[in-house]
Amino acid sequence: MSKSIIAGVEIGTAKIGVLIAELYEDWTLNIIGFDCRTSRGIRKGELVDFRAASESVHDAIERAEASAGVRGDEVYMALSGGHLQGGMQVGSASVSGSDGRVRQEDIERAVKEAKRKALPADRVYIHHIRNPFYLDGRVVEEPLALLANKIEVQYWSIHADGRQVSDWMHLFNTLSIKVRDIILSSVASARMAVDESSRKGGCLVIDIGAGATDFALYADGYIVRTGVIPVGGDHLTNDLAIGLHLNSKRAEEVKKDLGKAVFEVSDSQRTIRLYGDNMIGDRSLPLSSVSRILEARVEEIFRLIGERLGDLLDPKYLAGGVVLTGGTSRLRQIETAASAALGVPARRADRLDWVAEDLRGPEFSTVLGVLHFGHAMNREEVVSDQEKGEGKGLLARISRLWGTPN
Amino acid sequence: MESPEKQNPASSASPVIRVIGLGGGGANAVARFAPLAGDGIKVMVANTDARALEALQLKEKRVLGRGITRGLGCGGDPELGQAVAEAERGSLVEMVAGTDLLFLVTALGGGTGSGMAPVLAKAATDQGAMVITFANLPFSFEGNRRRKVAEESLHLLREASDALIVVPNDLLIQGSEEAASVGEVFQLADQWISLGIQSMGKILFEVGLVNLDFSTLRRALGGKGGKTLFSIASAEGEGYMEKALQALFECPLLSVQSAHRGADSLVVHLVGGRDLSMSAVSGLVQSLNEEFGSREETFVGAVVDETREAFLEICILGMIDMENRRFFRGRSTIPRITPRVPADPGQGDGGSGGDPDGSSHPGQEEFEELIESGQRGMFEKTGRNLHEGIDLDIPTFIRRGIRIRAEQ
Repeated sequence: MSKSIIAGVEIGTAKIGVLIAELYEDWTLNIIGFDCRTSRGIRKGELVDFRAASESVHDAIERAEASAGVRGDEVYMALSGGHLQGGMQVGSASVSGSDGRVRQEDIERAVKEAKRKALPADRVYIHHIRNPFYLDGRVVEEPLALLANKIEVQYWSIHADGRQVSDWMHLFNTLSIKVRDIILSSVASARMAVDESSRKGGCLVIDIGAGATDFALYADGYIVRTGVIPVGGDHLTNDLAIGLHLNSKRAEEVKKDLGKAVFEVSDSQRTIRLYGDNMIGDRSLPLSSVSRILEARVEEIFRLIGERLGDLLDPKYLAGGVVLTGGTSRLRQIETAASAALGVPARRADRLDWVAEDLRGPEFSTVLGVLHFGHAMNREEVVSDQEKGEGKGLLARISRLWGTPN
Repeated sequence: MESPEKQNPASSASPVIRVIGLGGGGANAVARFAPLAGDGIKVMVANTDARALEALQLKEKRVLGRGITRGLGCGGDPELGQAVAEAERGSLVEMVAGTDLLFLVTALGGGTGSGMAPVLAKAATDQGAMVITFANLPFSFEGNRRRKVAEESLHLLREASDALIVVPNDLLIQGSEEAASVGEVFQLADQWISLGIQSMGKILFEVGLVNLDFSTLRRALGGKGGKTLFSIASAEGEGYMEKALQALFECPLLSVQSAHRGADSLVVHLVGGRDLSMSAVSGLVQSLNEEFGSREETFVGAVVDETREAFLEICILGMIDMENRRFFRGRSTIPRITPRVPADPGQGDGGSGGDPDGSSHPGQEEFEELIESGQRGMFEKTGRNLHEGIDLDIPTFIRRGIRIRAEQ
């Protein structure tokens, strides 16, 4: 059976993850190569040092290819960062045919209108996430050939800072790597973190990374909101470093070994020992110092997400609850903190059983999600989805806007 | 603090030193310090609020801006403060005439201090004075507007000061008692500033094992602009050296956090008991150099207090990021402080880039880099992480005033 090779890349603040997989004619996916290494040049989810990032990405891809024994032909990339903004856009069209049945061109007109909204010159669309069609106000999965007067469609459209996007593309260009498409980290991660029934029942997936926290809200199986809060595990570490007068390395250890997301009264009675920063020697302090610092920051992250979602964050719309993933979701009692702050029951994402043991940790949901989307997009190209009709994927459109060769 | 004449009988002209407290907060702090000042130090307070001045026990008090504010204060309006500064420019120049070293103490975020301090500092600078400024930053809970006003003023003050010691009120909460009132926290601020000025005075005037003088200090501070590293601490009894070093890192005036220490030049002043030896001094300086990394030179002054034993007081003053001084384009006029209106977040989610002060605007980065209260740790050198006017990189517990004990 012939196969092509696809690669998924996530360039996060703390780590770069590269997955290489064989994609067979029957659409099965076989992961054959993997590398995960410390990322450099990324802060709070955004590219800040081109050369450092470029070197780390190059190394990661090279190592992954070595472990796979093949070169990746095309790469799918995950994008995050505080510069991402989204909005709901609606398009509608009257059903034109004399028989009153929805035709393909009606659908296309509605879609076109929904995506028409112009952006400021420095912004570029990354993703239009389709939400259900409405025929005369009724939700419909497949509108074609049904009777109706009016068809409407909504898209949750996310746009990005053009400069950031072209920096990323430039990075891959200089490494002579072709980027097939860019996927939002929040979307990639969410897809991996919850199964179809949770998506249909409604749920909020929150991926707390090192530099940023990505989230995606599902309703009836569609993503209706995404977002990025530019705060992550590094902020928890930094808060501890400042509050306890430690260097970052030691603070990170304290966070992992002793950290908890919720302050409990008994913490004040528990003493912990730290190693001093310099030759001064060990220090004792109450566990409450650690938990108070972390509780404040964690609560704030969730509260910021809650503010963005407003009324959408309601347990009655979220049968699947809140699902936490990302490296920082390992923090003790983070589900408790999330439930309290969001008013919706929260749990950690299930570990994926279809991947190898060392890929099951919460920090890999994004890179696995990217690969999954690469896989899905390859399928869709053959099936010819209307959204891809304008050329090979969204990236082609971005390339045309920016005049860079694809 | 000993007066210069006493310490340098051989010198023909002792430096003229003034301490001026400007605005309500500054005046209060200086009033606390005044009884400790020696004869040679000229102490004065100035405010637009006549009644606030009345309550202070000082000889030299000046009400400014009567023509505009009629002695009633600026009501927290920095534009009014600036207007008064313009109107009273002559008085301000006269206040600092002939000064060699000015200690300027002020609290930012309101009207008088924020509006007038940069003008006063500039006036002193223009006539050749060395300017060491202590500036309080408002509590996070006082809101964004005060913070923005404070930061704009801070930026201007930095340009006109040889050393700028920032006192973030948020950090003072960390050092205060659980049930302390805001008034008590302010007193704590005053105490720290008072200590700061005294320590500087000691650097200059105490004759001891190793001496610093005025011109050395000037050279060490390296001119206007740049960031100041400053800390004071003391300890006695068992393990006093380690305790003093530890306390030095925990001083709320120390605005540079772990990852970003590295002074271009460092001034160290030590006061020890009669058991303080040169080798101990040497060891201490080495530790301090390791922590605060003086790239160019370390200037050391050390004094022995014969009446004490097992005692150590450390004061460090450093200048860092000299390369940032490139960004200072000399300004002939002080620009107006205009409060910025946060942008409409638009249609919902995805990112916090909607705020015009956000780091997504390239032109702002230079400006923003220079405004630091030293509370951002590993994010110190990155753009601000602004969300509705709040910098998310500043630890949440600090912004909320949650007290943390760093030691059992």
